[in-house]
Amino acid sequence: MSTTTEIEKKYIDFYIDHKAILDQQSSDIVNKHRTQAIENFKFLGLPTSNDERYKYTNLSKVFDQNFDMRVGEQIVDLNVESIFKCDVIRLDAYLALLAKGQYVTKERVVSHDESIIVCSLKEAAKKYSQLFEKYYNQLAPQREDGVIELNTALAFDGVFIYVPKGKVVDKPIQIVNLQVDGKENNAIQLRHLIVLEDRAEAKLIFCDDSLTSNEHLSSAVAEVFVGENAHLEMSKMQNEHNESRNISNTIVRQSAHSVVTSNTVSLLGGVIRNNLHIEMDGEYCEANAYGIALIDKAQKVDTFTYIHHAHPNCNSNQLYKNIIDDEAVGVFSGTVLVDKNAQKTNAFQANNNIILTDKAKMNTKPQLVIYADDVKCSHGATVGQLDENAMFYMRARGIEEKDAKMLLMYAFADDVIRKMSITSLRENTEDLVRRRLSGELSLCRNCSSRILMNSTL
Amino acid sequence: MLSIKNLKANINGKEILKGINLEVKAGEVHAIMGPNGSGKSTLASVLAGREIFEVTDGHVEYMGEDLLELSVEERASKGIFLGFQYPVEIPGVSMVNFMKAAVNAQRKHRGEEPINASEFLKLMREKKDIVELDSKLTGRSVNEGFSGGEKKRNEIFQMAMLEPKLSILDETDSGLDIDALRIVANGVTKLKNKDNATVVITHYQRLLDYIVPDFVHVLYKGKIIKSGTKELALELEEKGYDWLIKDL
Repeated sequence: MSTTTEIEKKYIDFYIDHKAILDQQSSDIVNKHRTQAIENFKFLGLPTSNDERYKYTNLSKVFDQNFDMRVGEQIVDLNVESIFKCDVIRLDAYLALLAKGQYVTKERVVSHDESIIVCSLKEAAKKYSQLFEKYYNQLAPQREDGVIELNTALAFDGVFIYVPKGKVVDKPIQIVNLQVDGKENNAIQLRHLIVLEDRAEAKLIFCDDSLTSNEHLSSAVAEVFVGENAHLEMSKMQNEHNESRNISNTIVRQSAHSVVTSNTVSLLGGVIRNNLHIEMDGEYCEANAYGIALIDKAQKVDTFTYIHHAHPNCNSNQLYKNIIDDEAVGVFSGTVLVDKNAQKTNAFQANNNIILTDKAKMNTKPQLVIYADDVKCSHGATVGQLDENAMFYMRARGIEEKDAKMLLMYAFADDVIRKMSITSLRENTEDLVRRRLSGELSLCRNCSSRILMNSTL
Repeated sequence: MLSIKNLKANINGKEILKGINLEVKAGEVHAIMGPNGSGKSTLASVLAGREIFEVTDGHVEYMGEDLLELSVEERASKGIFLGFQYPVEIPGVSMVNFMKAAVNAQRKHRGEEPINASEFLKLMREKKDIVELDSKLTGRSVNEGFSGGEKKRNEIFQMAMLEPKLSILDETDSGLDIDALRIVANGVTKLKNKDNATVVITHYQRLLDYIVPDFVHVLYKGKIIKSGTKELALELEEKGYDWLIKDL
């Protein structure tokens, strides 16, 4: 990009002003990537709708708010128990809590095996420097995305997860990113690093929640390495509020015979942009990416996926659905790239959408780019209303119109929800979706009661 | 129970029903016959309340109420059942959830508590037997992947579950082989009693070998041109509709 915009300049200036604080509190490994990253950011800039990948969401505008950025600031002792208690019924999971962009959980997260590490990115960079250096910022620059480069330049904290060879985490790990600042509109950068070695298995639940109703921006980058024969399931629960802006980049590299599954549930959030990149770096990989978004009012959810079949005999499945009400806008652009040598690829991609009003909008762009000649690939997108015939059929049995609508929308959404393997999370999601469809504020009960109390910290 | 007077209805500005008169009393079975395009299915849809049809004239009284003032779901809750000519597939909505929603909606309308789970399952089992509906089917989504015959049997199963006062069966016999026809017809006969009434819409006489009507009406170009007893159906079978049309 030739010229730097005002907004970009604001972020560059912020970087210049805070570099010393960042460097002082971070490890050399994180620091040594900053300079190149800010140069890349200057070159790439914030994506605008001229960038094909961001055609329907001008990120430059999303970043253009008077956000109070926070880095390196000392967090007064936050008592995890007192600010957060997830009420997902019977969810038996390890909990790691992030607040104000920092990792705040103090005690050991995974108790059953000392070799499994869950800790802050900051701590990992110092304590496990050799391991950390091998993976940190190895995938991010390839995306050539200004948002990611800015994240690398300003990287401060996030979660680090390491599951060594052959280890299986016995319970899901829940990573909760809480917005807790009640005073200013803040902006945070989160940086996660997840490493599963060969034959390792883990299930991760990322929850984005908010205890404040202020406008805020959160930009998260997760680099994810999945070893041979390893299994990783990541579920993302996006449930902030409609003044929030949530940008996430999940960049996965998976090795031969590994299975990666991503579930995304987007309920509340003003602007949500999810980028999912999966690179299949070996034969017999399986990647599954599923998402459901229920949006209304002026919400916007933009899903971008990119799955790269670089080796033969890999499978990928994508199913993304949106139910769009009021004046909300949904976007799906998904690309499956099949290299010339990636024979016997099976790649399926579907995007189905229900539009409930005349003003609701859906942009969908499914893409297959195939260079191999012996593959099974399909893609499809549908945008439609609720089936009138089905509505009449149900009403003719006495079911009230609003209940008939609910049944149809729920059935549509459940197609995605039932892919979630963690039973308690699935049941809770079903409950959230049901409540959301019936017009209730669909926060988990504990989080919503806290918002109602207007709790500030 | 049902009294239709000079009913006229349009779809997209085109008049389909041109003044229907019909009286149905409790305990009776009426058959409405007629060639394609005569308005048989439209009559069924208008009685069920389908909004795409516009009623332009006439009056329909059902159990002492103005039927045309009621919504689709109110009519159903007050005991009107439409057996669909083309039952709709609803992927993702299980038969169990669908039936439970319907039963409870109707109970709510009558001011009753929702049915409890064990009572509901018992009811499902009982009623399934009436139309010999496979248990596998009630475990699936509504009509999804059902054969033509299974869909029609499913309509009668729903009728059995909901115990309507007035059943309007729209071409329930179309697309059925003789065995399925017998099962469906037997189901309807079993459900018949002195307090309910059935209107059977059909193309063919053969259904009336199994469901014996008290009255037979011939609908042609939106009007009932002839009414009689079951012998009329036999006459139609033999001579077709031409002799009636010529008489007009």
